[in-house]
Amino acid sequence: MGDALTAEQPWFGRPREGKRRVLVSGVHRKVAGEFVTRLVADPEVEFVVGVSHGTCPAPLLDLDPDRFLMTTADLSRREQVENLFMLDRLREANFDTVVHLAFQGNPKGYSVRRHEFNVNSTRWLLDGCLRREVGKFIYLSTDAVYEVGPRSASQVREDADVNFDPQAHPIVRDTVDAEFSCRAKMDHDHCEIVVLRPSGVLGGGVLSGLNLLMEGRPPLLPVGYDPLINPTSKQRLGRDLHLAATLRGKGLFNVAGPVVATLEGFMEARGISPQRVPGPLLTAAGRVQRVAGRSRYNQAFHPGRLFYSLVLDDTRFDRCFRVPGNEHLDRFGVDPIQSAIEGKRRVPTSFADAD
Amino acid sequence: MPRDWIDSDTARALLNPEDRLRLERYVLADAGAGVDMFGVSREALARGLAAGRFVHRHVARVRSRGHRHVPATGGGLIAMVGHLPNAAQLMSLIVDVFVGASTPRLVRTLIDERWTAAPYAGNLARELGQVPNVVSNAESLLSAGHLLGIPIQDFEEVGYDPQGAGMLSSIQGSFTLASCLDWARRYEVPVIPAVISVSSGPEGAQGASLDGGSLRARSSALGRRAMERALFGASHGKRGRRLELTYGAPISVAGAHEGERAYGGVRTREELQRALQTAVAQHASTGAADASREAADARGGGEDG
Repeated sequence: MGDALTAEQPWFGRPREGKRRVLVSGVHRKVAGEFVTRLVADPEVEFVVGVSHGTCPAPLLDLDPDRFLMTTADLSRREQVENLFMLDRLREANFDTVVHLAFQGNPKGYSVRRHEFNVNSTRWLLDGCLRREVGKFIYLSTDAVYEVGPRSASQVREDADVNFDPQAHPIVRDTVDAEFSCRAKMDHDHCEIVVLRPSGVLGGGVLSGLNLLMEGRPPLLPVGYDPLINPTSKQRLGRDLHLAATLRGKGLFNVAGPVVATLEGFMEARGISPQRVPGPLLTAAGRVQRVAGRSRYNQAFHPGRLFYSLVLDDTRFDRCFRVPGNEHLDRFGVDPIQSAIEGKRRVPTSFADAD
Repeated sequence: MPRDWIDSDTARALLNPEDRLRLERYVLADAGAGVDMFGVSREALARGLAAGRFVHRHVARVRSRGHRHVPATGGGLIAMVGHLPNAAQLMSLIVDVFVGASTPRLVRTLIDERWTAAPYAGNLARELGQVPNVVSNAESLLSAGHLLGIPIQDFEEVGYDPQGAGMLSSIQGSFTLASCLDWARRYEVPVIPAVISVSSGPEGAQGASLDGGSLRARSSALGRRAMERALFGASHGKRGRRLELTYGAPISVAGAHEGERAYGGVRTREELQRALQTAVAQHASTGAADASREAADARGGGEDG
């Protein structure tokens, strides 16, 4: 699929022209912290506007105020989304990139209001982008949209079966709904719409299913099953978002980590000892554990995840973004943006400067 | 001898030095944590070979020919012409290719979802390289340069007689010649015929009779026949039955478009059918020659005795 796509779209992976003006929704997410930090450190980015329902997250407080602006909005209300495109900062030029990370994925206390937020925020932001000819819209989905079972493919590509089960968790259905709003507009002439489906994200404080599972005391796994996974990290996902925002390309992409191993293997590597329980008792045991405050992982959210492998094949993202991205961003074997963040290397203002 | 990754005491005790060496030579495309992209584990391979070697040698008693036709590197479709009725025989085929080919190659097959859904069995199958029966899995394996074993269902068209090959149970292949040709063409891999049959044992050799004799003798005969039925799909009540495998010469498949390949190769389903017919005929002739040689040896041994 990747070959055919890159053959049809030779401009995929090329740097976008001009400086980036980026709107990022959901900056309270941990991955948003990584992503925004990278954007602010990138000389090709003019400024970044972060949107959240609350105050500015602590990791973003010390960013350069000339390059990062924080604002508050309720994205489920259309007029407030429209107001985002009319900020004073945008008098000369509008946003050219919108990255939509806002999603209320906590199963506890799920309500119609959350459903409306999850679906409508995507619709209003996307609609605003299309009407104002924003060059790129990125939606961060999840791997929970894939159907997982004994007949799942060993390497799940983007065209694998999506979970359309009417009994699926409402949050999964919200994700599928929001994703399909984006996919319906993917043929737009001016706006490149990108949907990223990351595998489980690991990292301190990340509210992904896998991370919550590993934070359980102890993590509960079913007896006799040890699925394969290839989780990514918040740093890697932040970098992938950066590549998707700064390079040309559109479509649906898996993004995953480079290492494939069993779930128990990843736990062992982190010094975590899981507790095995019989499969039919897993949901009940998990509920007891949550009530006791020993875990925040909800097995009902993605029931097959602990039984069957889910290894995302992100070859398509590799071919479209990572390889040309390496030429664009890390020509010398190191990532200058990451190095600048870590204070180890000066960010080159141009490639000639870097030479 | 390096054997640092064979941690299991059982595997270490059961594997002979040659098999250990083969395991060391097997190239596992490590995906970063001791398993490959499909979940194959080195340690499970060691344990699987330790158990499978016994089945291969003493239970199925495999006699095989033509290992030189198994490609040393790169992808390939092993077209299984014949019936492998159970996991022991499938294991025998996998072990046979692993220990017989010039470089150790692991044959991957598509297994039923009942295996992958079961606790422990699903993990074990995955660690030994077997994947759920999904077309995209087969495509992933072929594009990654692995050997994929697929059972062919068009037996009559390639001149294979299941009953003549000693198999009386129902024959249920999975893939047609057309799909085999299509995969080989799309992934540019050769088709290696693997013709499978069950030898009927030396002429005149009879198993223990169920009639007469002591209760212990009758129980033993009953058990032997039950095992033969389980392993070979049928029992003729003869001693010396064994699994016969013949790997035919690789059949190269030409590209979909004229001039895509510089060299020849089969282009149509009929050409693939003829090539497989040749492999089946070769298997029958060599099998008959071996049987007559065995009979002669048996007669000579008898006269000597």
